[in-house]
Parts: sequence; C-alpha cells; structure tokens
Amino acid sequence: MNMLALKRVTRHFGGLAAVNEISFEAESGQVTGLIGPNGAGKTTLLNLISGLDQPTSGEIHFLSQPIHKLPPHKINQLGIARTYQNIRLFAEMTVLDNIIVGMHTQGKASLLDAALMLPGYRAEEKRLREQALQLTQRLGLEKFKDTPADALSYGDQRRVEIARALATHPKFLLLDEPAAGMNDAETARLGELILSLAKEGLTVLVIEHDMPFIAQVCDHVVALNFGEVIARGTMDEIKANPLVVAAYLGEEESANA
Amino acid sequence: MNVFSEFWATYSSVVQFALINMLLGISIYFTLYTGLLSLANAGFMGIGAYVSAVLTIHAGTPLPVSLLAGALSAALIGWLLGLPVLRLREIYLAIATLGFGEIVRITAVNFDKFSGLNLLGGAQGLSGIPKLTTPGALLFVLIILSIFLVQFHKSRAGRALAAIRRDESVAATMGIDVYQYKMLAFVLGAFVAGLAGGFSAHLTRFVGPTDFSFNAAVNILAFAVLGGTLHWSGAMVGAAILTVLPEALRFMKEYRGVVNGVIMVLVIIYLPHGLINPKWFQRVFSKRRAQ
Repeated sequence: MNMLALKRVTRHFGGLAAVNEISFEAESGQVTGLIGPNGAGKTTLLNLISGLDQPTSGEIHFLSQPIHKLPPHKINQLGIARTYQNIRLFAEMTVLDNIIVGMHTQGKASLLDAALMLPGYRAEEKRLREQALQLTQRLGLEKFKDTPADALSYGDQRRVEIARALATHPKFLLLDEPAAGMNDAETARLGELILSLAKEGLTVLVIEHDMPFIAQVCDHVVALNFGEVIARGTMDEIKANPLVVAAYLGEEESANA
Repeated sequence: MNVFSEFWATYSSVVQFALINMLLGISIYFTLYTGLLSLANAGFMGIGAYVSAVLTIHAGTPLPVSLLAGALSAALIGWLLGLPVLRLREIYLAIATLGFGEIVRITAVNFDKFSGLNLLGGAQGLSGIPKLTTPGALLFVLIILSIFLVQFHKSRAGRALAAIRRDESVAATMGIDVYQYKMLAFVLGAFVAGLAGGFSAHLTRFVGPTDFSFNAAVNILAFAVLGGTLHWSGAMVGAAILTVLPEALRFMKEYRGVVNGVIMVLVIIYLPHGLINPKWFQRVFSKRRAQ
C-alpha cells in the first residue's frame, strides 16, 4: 500500500518550474530516498508535502486523502512530521522543551485547566514530560535535556530536530539532509536509528547527499534533476542509471555512458 | 504611620495609575510574547473604559460587573478585529492595529450624533463617572493575572505561543494552529486592556476620545521596550518605572521628559532585551550553586 502519492505535482516560482510534473509513491513502512543535485527541487517537494507551500498544479495524497490544500498543522495532525535542512530549532529553549512543543497535539489541557492547576492538567504535563524524556534517551540526547538547543553541536541539533518531529507521533517522517554536518560515527548511528524506526512501522522519506548513507537506509530511491524525476528504483539500479550519473558528474560522462 | 498616610495622601493616585499601567503592560505582553507587534491595546482600553463607564452611570452596575462587561466587549471587538488583521505580519500588523485606535477615537466622537443617544459625550468626553476604583481592587486583579501568567507559560498554550514567536512555520508543522493561537493571545491582550480601561475610567472619573489614540498606544509599547518581554514581569516593571519616574523627577520641571528619553535610549542600546532578562536570574542562581 502506498502511504504517500504525488500525482503530477508542479510548483512554479515565476517562470521557473522548481518542481515539474513529479509523480511517485512512498510505500508504507519503507524508507524512500530522495536524491539529486542542489537545486533539483528536493526541499521544495518537502515543503509541498508538509504544507508550507502549495503546488501550482497536481495532487498530493496521504493515506488516500488529498492533502495539497490543507494548512501545515492539519497535515501534521494527519501524521506527517518533518525536519529542516537549515536546522530550525527553538534556539533558546532547552532540548526537552523543544521536544515538548512537538507534543502539542498529544495534550488536551485547555488554558483554563492550566490556570486553575487542575489535576488532569498536571497529570498530562507529567505524561508529556516522561514521553519527551524517553525520546531524548532513544536519540542519545539525555545528557543535553536541559541544555539550550543552540548550545549543541550541529549533529546533536539534527538529532533534536528528529526527536521533535517524532514527538508529534508521525506515521510518515520527512528528513531533509539529516546527516549534513555529522561525522561518520554519528551518520552510522543515525542510519541505524532510521532503520529501527522503519522496522517499527514508520514510513520515511529522506533527502540526503551522502550516497553510502542512502544505500544503507533506503529501500527505494527517487532521483531528481531540474525539478523532474530522472530515475527511480533500488540504489543499485539508480547508481547504474546514465541519467543519474550525468546529473551528478556532468554531460561528458553521460555521453560516454 | 503618620509618614505613611501623608505619603499615601499625596501619591495614592500615582500608585493607582502605575497599577493600571502594569495591567496595560500585561496586555501588550500577551501579543509580544507571541511575536505580534500589535498597537491596538490603547483602543481596547478605550472600549473597556467607555463600556464600563456607561454601564456604571446608566445602569448603576457595581464595579466588578462594569469592569467585566468592558473587558468582554474589548475582547469581542478584539476577536472581530483579529479575524482580518492577524493574517498580517510584523510591521503591517502594527500599522493596521494603529489604525484601530483611530477608529475607536472617531467612533467615540461621533457615536452620540449618529445614534441620537446621549451616552459617550462626543468630543467633550464622558465625565461624572463615580470613583469606584480602589488600590485593593487593582492589586487583587494584578495578583490574579500574575498567577495566571506564571501558569500560562507552563501550559500547552503558552508553549505554543512561544514556539510561534520563534518560528511560526515550524510551529505549524508541529501541529500548532498558528492562527488560532495568535487569536488567543490577541483576545487575551484585548481583555486585559479593556479591564485597565475600566479601572482608569473609574479612577479619573473621566473618559475622553483622545485618551486612547497614538500617544497611548506608543506609551504602552514603551512599557514593554523598557522592561523587556523575555519575562512576564518585564512590561509590568517597565510600566511602573515609566509611571513613577515623571513624579519622582518633578524637581527637574520641564526636563523630566529628557530623562525619560535618555533612559529609553540607553536601555535600547545597552539592554536591547529590556531591564528584566531571565538569563540574569539563571546566572545569579548558577553562580550561587557553583560557590
């Protein structure tokens, strides 16, 4: 069953088609990789899926429901969470608070419950805090839980972003260059994390330039160039595809290939 | 005791003005905390002042009822105003909300002429309001609101507002309904400003249409600039200082305004986050712990 289906999705910025008639599906429980040179339209596509931007034409379906006209908070509530290429944590908030913000939709307490300090509110706060702590443990962030997010290293901040996205209890996780700025050991651990999440049933779409990483985690890869899908398949198929080789290495290579 | 009662006889109205301005500080804090630069609070204060004064004069309602009616009217108008203007961001919101103060003024001036009623007193303003405001009532409301603010920050809604201020797109992708929460902050601010207006009307015994226009809007913003918005007490401290300072500097006669101006400039240059910065508390506490 496909969880996410893009149907001829196009996004124009003025005369430029950043994303041009893209169609592909992400299978439930699989890790799909999205690769392509800079400017290929990968991040634009993620913005369209998460609702921060709307397609000029085409449709995006999530769990057989059209989502391309929904606002981002509705899309998140349906089960899509994301991270950002240029880390966008709430900088001065602690790691734990960042994650607790992500748990917004899991809470029900109204402002009145909080103002009157009702027992239900306090129990809920305790529950959210515990869940957030579990997430810090899972991502190896427990020693930073009370540290302001902007005091962490690049790689740690990327993991906080993932924790915050997971806090929304997504069915589908969009990762925009999660390994950028990480060292090899961190990247390897990130790969294991993504695989374990997938094993638990989470569907993942990951943008990455690190090809060994893509090969490690992805069941299926979609390659973009100039806003169009140029190839799709397993990593081995993609690697052998002359169009992909041309996109990454230049025209001359493609002429020889 | 004698010294105190003498002091109180001279300064009780200054203290009450300070308390009312602290309420206004809270009202603008709600919006600034959410990252909304709204200058509508003076207009909301005007609505609260007029509605509560008219009720007290014509219906003889007790102070709490008049105040609540004024605050709820301000909140309702706030909601209606918020529907279109909360789609605006940054400076555009400031301009639109500044215009709202002018709408309140023009409405107050012309209301009687068009309605044929004799309620708001037109350009002359509304006088003869009974003096019902007491320092005790003001203090009571301020304490309740302060407790509310402390709880508010720890709540789900408070976190959502903080997230919106920092990055509203990210907040939205976390499932937070940004527009709804901006509305919440805006309406809460309107409610508290309406309360302040009611207290003010029943303290000065007069409501005039020009009391709530541009100058008032900028003064309220100055409370927040001086005190800062990183902590909920910031705008309140700013309001207290800016109300008391002109009185304390009375010996300087016409140069008082200069001192105010110099203080504002110094704060903006050297303490851009305002006088009250929670990081300092943390620093003091962590130093103590280290020792």
